[in-house]
Amino acid sequence: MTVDLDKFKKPGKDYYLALGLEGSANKLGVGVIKHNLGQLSSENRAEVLSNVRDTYITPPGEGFLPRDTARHHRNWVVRIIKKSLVDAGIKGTDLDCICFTQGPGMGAPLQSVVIAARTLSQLWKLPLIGVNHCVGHIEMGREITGANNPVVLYVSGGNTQIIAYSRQRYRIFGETLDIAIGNCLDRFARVLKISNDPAPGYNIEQMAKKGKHLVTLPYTVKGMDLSMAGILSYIEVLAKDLFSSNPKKNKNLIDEESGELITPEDLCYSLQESLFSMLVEITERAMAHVQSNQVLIVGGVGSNERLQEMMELMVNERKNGSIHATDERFCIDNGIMIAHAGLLSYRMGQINDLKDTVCTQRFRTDEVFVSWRDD
Amino acid sequence: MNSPIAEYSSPDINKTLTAGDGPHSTNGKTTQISEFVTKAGGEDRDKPTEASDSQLGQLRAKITSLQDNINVFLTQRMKQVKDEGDIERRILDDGVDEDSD
Amino acid sequence: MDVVSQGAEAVVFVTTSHPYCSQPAVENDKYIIKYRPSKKYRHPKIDAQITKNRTVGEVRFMNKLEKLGINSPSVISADYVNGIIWMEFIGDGLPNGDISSVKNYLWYLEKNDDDDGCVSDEVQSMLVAVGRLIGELHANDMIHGDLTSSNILLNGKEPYLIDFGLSSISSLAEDKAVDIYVLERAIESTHSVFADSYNKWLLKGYVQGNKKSKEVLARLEEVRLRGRKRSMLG
Repeated sequence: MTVDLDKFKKPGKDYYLALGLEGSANKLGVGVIKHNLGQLSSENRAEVLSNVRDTYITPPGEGFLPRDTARHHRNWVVRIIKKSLVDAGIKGTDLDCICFTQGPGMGAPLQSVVIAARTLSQLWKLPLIGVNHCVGHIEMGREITGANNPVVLYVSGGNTQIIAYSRQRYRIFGETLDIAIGNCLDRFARVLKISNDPAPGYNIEQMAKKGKHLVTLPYTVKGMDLSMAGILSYIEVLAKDLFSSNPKKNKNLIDEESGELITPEDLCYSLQESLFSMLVEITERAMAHVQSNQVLIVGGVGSNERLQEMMELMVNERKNGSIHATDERFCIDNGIMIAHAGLLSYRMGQINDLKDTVCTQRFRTDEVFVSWRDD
Repeated sequence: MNSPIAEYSSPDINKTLTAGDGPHSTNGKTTQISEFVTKAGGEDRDKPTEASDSQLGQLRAKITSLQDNINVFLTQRMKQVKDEGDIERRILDDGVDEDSD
Repeated sequence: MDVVSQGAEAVVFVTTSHPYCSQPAVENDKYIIKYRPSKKYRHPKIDAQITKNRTVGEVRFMNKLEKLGINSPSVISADYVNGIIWMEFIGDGLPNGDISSVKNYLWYLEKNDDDDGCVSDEVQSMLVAVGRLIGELHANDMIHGDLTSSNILLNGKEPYLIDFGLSSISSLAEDKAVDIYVLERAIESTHSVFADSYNKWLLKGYVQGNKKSKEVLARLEEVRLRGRKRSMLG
C-alpha cells in the first residue's frame, strides 16, 4: 500500500479520533477509535477507545418493527454516546470527525441515528462521514485479524455476500438470491417460538448443539450464489406439522437409522448443517476463483461457532489456508467499525456535506470507492 | 425562553403548530412503543429519560409536545387522502423510502 | 499423474493412462481425471448425497452435450459413489504456463498486454464464440448453473464448456436468465476494467446461438433489476 493517509492531518496533532454511530438494524452502537499518523500495520494498530452497544429486543416469536427500533435508537442514543465518550476518556470536541452508517439497513432506524450524527457535527463543528455498513464490517475485520486481502464472507440478519477486493472496490462475487442467512434463522426461530434474548440465532446455535439426527433439506447453491427461501419454507412446514398442538395435524417424523423421534433440536441442527455447508461451499468457490487462501468471516452470524468450525475444516484442506474471524464485540453490528472505516475515508479527504448525508436502505458494497487502498 | 414552533404549508393550507400550554414532558402520546409489542407480552425498556430542569431539558419536553401535535395533525391529513392507502404504516413499518417508489 | 487444478469442489488430474486400453490409441494422448473428494466440513449424509448427485448429473449432462455436438469434453468412464469422472483432455497452456481458461487468458492479457490488447478483435471474436456456445446450450434447455470465466476453456480458438456439477435441464426463461446473470456478475467482479465490453460481446454471441433469446433477455433485465433493488438490511 502506498496511499498517503496523512494529507489532511492537523498541525501539531499526531493522531486522529473518530466517533462512529451505527443503527441500521436492531442494534445501536457507538464507538471511538484512534489512529496514529502513518500507515496502519501490525506495529501501528488502530486503537479501540470505546465500544458501547444496546440491542432492541422483542418478545419471543416476534420480529422487530422499524418504528419501535427507531424509537429505541432515538431514546438511547444520547445516553450511549455519553457513555462511549466517558469510556474513551475524551470530550466531543477532541474528535476529528463524526461517522455514521449511511446504509444499507432499515429506513427509520438509520434516519433516527443520522439525526444524532448531524446534530453533533453542528454542535462540535466536525465533519460528517457516511459509511457503508458492509465496508465497516470488512475494514474492522481486516484491522482486528490482520488478514490483509481475504475473501470475505459477510453473514448477518440482512446480508449474505461473498466479497473480495479488486481495484479499489469490494466486489461481490456471490450472494443470496433471496433472503439473508440471519433472516432465515430468525424466521425459523419464530416458528419454534425460540427466545429473542440475547439473539434468536444464538439460541438456535445452542439448541443445534443438542441435535443428533440430520433431516435432509434442499440444497440450493447456484454458482457462487445461493438461495435460502425454499429451504426455509420447507423446514417451516416440517416444524409446523411436527409440533402442532392440534393432534390431527401433528405428524411425527422419525429418524430412519435410529427410529427415534425428530426433535426441535434436530431441526435446528439440520438447518444449520445445510445452510452452513452451502455458505462454506460458495466461499471455497470464490477462493478458488480469485486464487486466495485467506477467509475473513464478518457479520452477526459470523460469531456462530459451528460456522467457524466448518470454515476452518475447509480452509485447512487448502494450501496455506487461513481463517480469520472476530468475536462478538466486532462481529455483531457495532459503532467502532463505522468509526474505523469512516476515519479511513476522512484521512483520504472523503467527507460528506450536510446535504449529502441522506441515508439509503439500498447501498451496495461495490458502490464505495475504496480510496485508502491501492493494492 | 421561546417555544419551538413548526410550520406546515401545502397548496391548500398553511398552519403553524406549537407545543401548546403544557405541562410538557418527554413522555409523548404519539411516541409510545407500538401495541404490537405490548400485546405480545413485551415490556417497554426504551422509555425516554425524563426532562431535566435545565433549559435544554425543558426544550426536550416542549419538542415532544410539539412532535405530538405534528403527528396528530399529519395523521389527520393523511386520513383525508384516502386513495393513497396506509401511508403511515408503509413509511414506518415497511421501510418505504419517502423519496422513492 | 499431475494435479492440473484444485478447484473448490474437485481436484483435476492429468494422466496418460486410459481406463480401458493399456496402450494409448494415440501416442502421447492425455486424459483428465476429475475427483470430488469428500468434504470434512459437511455432515457425511449431506456429503455423500452431494458427491453422488453432482457426479451423476455432470456425466449425464456431458453425455447429452456430446450427442448434441456442443463443445465440451467427452466422458470416458465414471465412478459415481467415489465421485470420479475420467474424461477427454481439453485446453492448452498459456505462455505463462497457466491452463487456457478464459479467465487465465484475459488475466494474462491484462498483465502482459496494453489496454488495446485486452479489447482486441481477437478477444471480441473469442467472447462472441463463448456467448454463442452458451446460446446453443440454452437453445437445448440445458442450464450450466455455474458459468464463470474459469469454467470455459480455450482449445486453440474454440471455447469448450466444463464443470457441470450444478447443471440442470429447464426450459424456463428465468433459469436461463439467472445462468447468464451469474456469468455477467462473474465477469464484472473478475475482469472489472473491461467488463462492459466483455459482457456486450457475450450477449452478442448469445443471440446468435439461441434463436429464442428474446424472452430470455427480457427476463435477464428483470433479474438484474432484482439484484440491484434487493434491499440489504442490517
